[in-house]
Amino acid sequence: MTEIPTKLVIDLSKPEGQREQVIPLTAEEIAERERMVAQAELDRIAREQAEADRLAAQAAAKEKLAALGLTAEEIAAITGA
Amino acid sequence: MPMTLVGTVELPSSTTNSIQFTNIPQTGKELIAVASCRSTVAGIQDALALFINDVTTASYNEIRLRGLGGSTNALQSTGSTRIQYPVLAASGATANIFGNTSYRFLNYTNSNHKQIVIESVGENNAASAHQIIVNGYLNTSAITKLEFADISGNVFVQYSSISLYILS
Repeated sequence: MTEIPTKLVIDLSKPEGQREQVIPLTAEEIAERERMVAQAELDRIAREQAEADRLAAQAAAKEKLAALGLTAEEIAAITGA
Repeated sequence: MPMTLVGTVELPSSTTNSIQFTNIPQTGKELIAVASCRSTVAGIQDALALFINDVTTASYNEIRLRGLGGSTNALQSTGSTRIQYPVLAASGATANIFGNTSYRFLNYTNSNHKQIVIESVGENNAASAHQIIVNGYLNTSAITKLEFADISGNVFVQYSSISLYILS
């Protein structure tokens, strides 16, 4: 981005027509957003890994139940999946 | 309960990263926000981050139920620094579509932790994602400010809009 992004502040205590103020983001706010972006990506990766781990554990548990002789219907009945 | 529009904005250009409503009237029982936004960031979808009262500490718990194409899933997170699951259409999505989200802030003026129910959809015509989100905001202060931001750090496209209503 070459243009500095802005924030639009709507002050609801003021009369209509006088509420809106467009303010360029400060260097500190831009840095905060960059930190937020990096954290969001880390959060996304962590969530996806946690979900992948959960699904892998679920599949492994079903295999073990099947090895014990349970049918697919019986496994579904006790696991709900 | 009567529903009153207290503020609305439609962006005249693609230069804004953050839309903030301040000094929200404390005269209602519930607060409703309706957002229709698209980001300039690459990709199909982005996230519309929401901060309440400038709180950016670990104060937001979320559980999300999502339908994405032919699959569904549920995700949860605790101790987030923002509400982060609502979708925002991005530049790779079908032309001229927006991510649409409604927020319902229950008992927003009281002195208990707040409950927020969110319904959000990214209307990409190739594979839509519809999600319902329940959020707990772990703060007892009345809600007086809402900030909606493009989590990618990019900007909202022209004609993105957000409206705020109170139910009284």
